[in-house]
Parts: sequence; structure tokens; C-alpha cells
Amino acid sequence: MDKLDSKHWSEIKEVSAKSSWTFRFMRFVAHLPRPIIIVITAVISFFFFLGAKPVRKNSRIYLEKLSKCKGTKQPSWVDCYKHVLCFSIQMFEKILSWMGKLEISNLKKNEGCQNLQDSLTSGHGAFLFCSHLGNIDMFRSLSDDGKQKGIKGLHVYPIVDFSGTSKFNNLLRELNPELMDHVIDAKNIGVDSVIWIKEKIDEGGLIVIAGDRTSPNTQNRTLTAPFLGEEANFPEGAFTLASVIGAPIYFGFGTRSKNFNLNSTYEFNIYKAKTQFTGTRKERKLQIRQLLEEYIALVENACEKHPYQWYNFYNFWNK
Amino acid sequence: MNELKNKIKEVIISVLELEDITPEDIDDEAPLFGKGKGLGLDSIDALELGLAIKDNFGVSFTAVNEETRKHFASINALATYISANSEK
Repeated sequence: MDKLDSKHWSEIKEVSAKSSWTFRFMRFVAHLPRPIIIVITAVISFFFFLGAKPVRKNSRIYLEKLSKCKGTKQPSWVDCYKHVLCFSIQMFEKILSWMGKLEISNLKKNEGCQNLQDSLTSGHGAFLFCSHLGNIDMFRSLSDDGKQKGIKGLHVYPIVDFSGTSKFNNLLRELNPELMDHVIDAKNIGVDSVIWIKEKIDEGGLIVIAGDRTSPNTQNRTLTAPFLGEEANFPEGAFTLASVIGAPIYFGFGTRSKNFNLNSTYEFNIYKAKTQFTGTRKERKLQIRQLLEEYIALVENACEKHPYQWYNFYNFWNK
Repeated sequence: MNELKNKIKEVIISVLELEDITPEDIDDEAPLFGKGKGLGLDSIDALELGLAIKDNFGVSFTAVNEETRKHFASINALATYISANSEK
């Protein structure tokens, strides 16, 4: 077994790139025409793919479980490479979107997305679970900050764990310092932040949190549930926060329709949670589990549709 | 002040459904969070407690930083903050 296999995701430092120099280079590449970005990404990803054994291995673990669930043929190394390539392209997608260069002109929204937008436009705050599937940052385009056709006056507050990606986040901060002001550091969530978060929701803000990364501070506070056929850990804190905050809860995924094209259309799929939180603390524990199960079913479904756009390159099923 | 402290303790006990603990059992100076002496609440208890404090005492913050966290260190710290800043 590789050492990396047994590590918590936060202990794996910047799997995607090793130095801030790499990010300078990426920033330069981001200015080139899109097809050239893809070609450069494909070449770099190939060498990265050859060199990063744990990434290959963890990609395969995930793809194998997925194909078992779907009943399709087992993945080959080509599938693992496509998975890595999709992730690399997504990093450029993030850089471009933070530079304000990504126009989501051809956006396919589902009904739930429209419902959420309507609710936010009328001043009702909400709590949105996303996952490391597709591009999380695209939800920022719901607000005006991203210079897109967003909802005027809407503030999006992502709760982000910066463990292991500080260099990439520094780059994003340089590209658009204002956007970073709205980010809540997941490592530092405490009794006072909850009050602050509740105020932001009462003001009509949208709180966004990933439901598929356990916290390095509270590794012992996790919920275990089957994901793609085998038990995996999910963050108890994120689901508990949703249960106590008293705002409508949504699940959302933003994915590229075409895996390997930066000019692709995007799909925004948002679903309102069915679970209601009522009753005593004990009853709430059961409801939190229900909420988690709703989330997992949707993530699994999205993984089946976009197998290469799931970006958890550590052993997700490691206990 | 003592009345406020007792109210805070009652809120903590009821929201976290702490069984077998009465307000008298909670030391005013002892840390609320973390292992060791005191109640030993964890980060997930904090989520529920934070909201209960907001709902019951109308506490609010414009920003979150190291300073705001200190107001939740103990019953005494919390009572001092609430009496100075409560909207109710």
C-alpha cells in the first residue's frame, strides 16, 4: 500500500501541482486560446498521470466502484487518464471564471435551479450542498459578483476548507480579491460563525458547503453511509449545520456538458431537499441521516452521468 | 448578572439535551469547549449552541474573528458579552 492511500485528504498537499511557479505558468496559459489550453493541459496531465501513482490508484478505485454500480466494463488506464485530464481542465475553468473570462452563455438550468433563483430573488436565503463534482465555483455566477447575469444583490458565501490547496487559493485570491472576502473558512467554524451564517441567510444570502469532505479537525465526527456500494465517511458538521440553521436546503451540481472542451455548455442541476427538520435532538439525528441519504443518491446519479468530473483524488472509502 | 448566567446555563442544558446536569453543576469560569475540565463541548455542539444563544439573547456579529470566539469561552465571558450587547 502506498502511504498516500491511507491519508486523510487534507494531509495530501496540493496533489495537483507542487509549486507556486506552476500556478504562475497556469496563469500565463489561461490567456491563450481555449483549444491550445486543452492541448497543453492534455500533455502536462499525461506526465502528471505517469508520475502520480496514488492519483492513478485512487482514480481507479473510484471508477471501478462506479462501473460496478452501473454494470459497465471495468475502467482502463485511459479512463483514469481522462479523469485526471478533466480535473486539470477544471482548474483552468476556475482560473478563467475568477478572471471573469468564462461566459456561461449557454447554461442549461433545471427546474430546481429556477426555483432556488426565484426564492433568492425574493430575498429568502438558502443553504446549498455541493460536492467535488464539476465546478463548484460556478455557483458564484448566480450572484452578481462574477460579472455574469446573476441575481442582483445576491451574496454567495462558500464554506471552504483550505487544507492542502492554499497555493491554488492564493492564486485565485490574486485574480479576484473581492470574491475571497465572502469565503468562510471551514476550519474555523465555531459557535460565533453559526450566528454570523444565520444572519447572512436572514439577509437573503446563499451559503454553499461541500458535503463530501470530512473535516480534518473533527475526523471523529463523521457520518458513515454507503456510497457507490461501499461505506464512506461524510462530514457530520456540514449536515448538522444544515439541520440547525433553519433555512431551505438544496443540493446542487454544476457540470460541463462536454468533458474536454472549455467552450462547452454547462448544466446547473439543483434539487430541493425533501427532509424536514422537526422535533427533538434525537429525532433530528435520524433526519440528518435522511438528508445525507438524499445527498448521496444525487451525487451517485451525477457521477453516473459525468464519471470523469468527480474530483476526489484520495481514497474516498478509506476508514 | 447571576440571573443571566442561570438563564444561559438553562439554555445550554436544554438545547444540548444534557441529561443529569443542572445549572448548579456548571462552573461559571470553566471552559465550555474542548477536552478537560468543564463541559467539554465539541465543534458540533457549538453549531447548535450558537443558534440557541442568538435566538434567546439576540446576540449578533458583524464579523467573525479571534475576538468573537473569546466571548464563548465560559459562562462568565458569555454573560458579560450578552449583557453588554444584547438587543433584547
